[in-house]
Amino acid sequence: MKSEVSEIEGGGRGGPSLPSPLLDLNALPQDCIAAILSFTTPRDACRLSAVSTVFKSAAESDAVWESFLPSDYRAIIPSSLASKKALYLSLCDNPVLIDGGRKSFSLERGSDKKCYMLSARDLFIVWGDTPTYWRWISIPESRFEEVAELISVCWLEIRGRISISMLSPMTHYKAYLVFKATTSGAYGFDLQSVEASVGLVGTEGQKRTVYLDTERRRRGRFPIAPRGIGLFNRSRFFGLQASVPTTASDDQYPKVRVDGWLEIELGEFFNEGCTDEELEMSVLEIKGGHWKGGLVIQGIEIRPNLCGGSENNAPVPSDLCLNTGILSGQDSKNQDFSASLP
Amino acid sequence: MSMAAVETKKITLRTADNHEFEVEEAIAMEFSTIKTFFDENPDASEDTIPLPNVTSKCLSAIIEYCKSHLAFRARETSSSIDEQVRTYDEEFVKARDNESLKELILAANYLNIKALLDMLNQAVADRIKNKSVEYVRRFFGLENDYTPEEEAAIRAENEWAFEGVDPDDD
Repeated sequence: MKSEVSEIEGGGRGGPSLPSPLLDLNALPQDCIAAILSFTTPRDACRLSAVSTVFKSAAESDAVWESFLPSDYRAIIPSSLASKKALYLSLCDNPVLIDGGRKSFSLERGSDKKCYMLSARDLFIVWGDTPTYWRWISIPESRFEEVAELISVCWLEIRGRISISMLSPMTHYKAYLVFKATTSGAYGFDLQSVEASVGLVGTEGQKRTVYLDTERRRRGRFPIAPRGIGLFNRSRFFGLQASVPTTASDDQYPKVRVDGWLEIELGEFFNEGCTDEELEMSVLEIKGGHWKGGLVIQGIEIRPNLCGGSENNAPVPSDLCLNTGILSGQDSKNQDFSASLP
Repeated sequence: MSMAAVETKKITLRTADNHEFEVEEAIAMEFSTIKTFFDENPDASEDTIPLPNVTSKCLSAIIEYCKSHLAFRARETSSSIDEQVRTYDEEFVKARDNESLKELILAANYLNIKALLDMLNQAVADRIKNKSVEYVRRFFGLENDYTPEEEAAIRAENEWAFEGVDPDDD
């Protein structure tokens, strides 16, 4: 049952009087409910529309969803969609191009945290302008106008920077290189690791060793960390132990994304959010000295870490995240255990 | 006939349960509803203002809140003042049960005290975040007026939002 919202009526019958009282002290009026919900999360607002019809009206109102949208949303997305909730959900599912097409922007659905992908053109790629080493092409499966194709380099250095002020404060973020192999295939990455780093400009940053090996993903990875999954134990029978570094774990290898590209985690960062500084994310392979190539780089994505990081997300054990990676990259029918490594 | 001007003018408020409160004008002006009323009716300041929607328990808490915040604002801003304000606000809501928070929200909404209302809304939001649909129904005293089919449809549409919700502990 709805109660009326009190409104000021200056002057009434027989002298000035204060606004008429609410009808029912027990039921909060709809706009009070909406005000409370605007302090919760998008996830709560969606779930709680199941409470009652009045609650649903409050939970779907523009007042609530406007508070979840980023403050500059009007500049980012044309608001031709009917409701602010629809606008919000659209920003979650369909990243929009910003910064002259150099970056894309979207929201993490449950928590309204900001996500970005820096296009290859927005990155600093050493030798990127030398056509013998890198080529800029347009492909339909990229959200950006151009992607960078690595023909061949010895010195691989890719750096991306983003201003901290663009990110959501008090949030755990992870950065990923988004890439794939060219049709002719990647080479030089299967045994040689690369060094990934994430940190504020001017600091050491967090470094990790990763593999940009696209083939191994297709062939079936053999993480050394035993997980009791029968498929992976077969590595021991094929003498592959010798060529796989013993300390490599599953999250050092690329995973398949929903959009069909691969991604490799470069590192993580907790944004306190109160600085003018920039975050730098980089991929380096400058020690091996050998030629490598055959990759297409779409960009670097930075998005909230949902595994037990952000305050508004239900914590998920990090085991579960890694397992998801194993399962999504696998297709047991395609595993070819008789193939030999180069 | 106006009385001799006094330094601190008092306004009398009468609550729903017929208690009268005398408050300094400065505090009454924190209630935007009353401020607007006096702006439009400058001669009415001698009268007792009825607040049929506010209980004495609520009003006395609200008056305490406004007094404290006025005192905070009168001091120079500093990070230690901010810290004290934060602590005061936390204490203000911590001991109150859900019923009294709702009453306070209704009163703050009626009296139109924005800072208090925002603070209370945030406190209630913190109490319902990640809670189940049933918990929130009980919290707000709302009946489920959906048909089983309607409710099932909403739950299916928002399945992702139901994962990892806090279990009800009662």
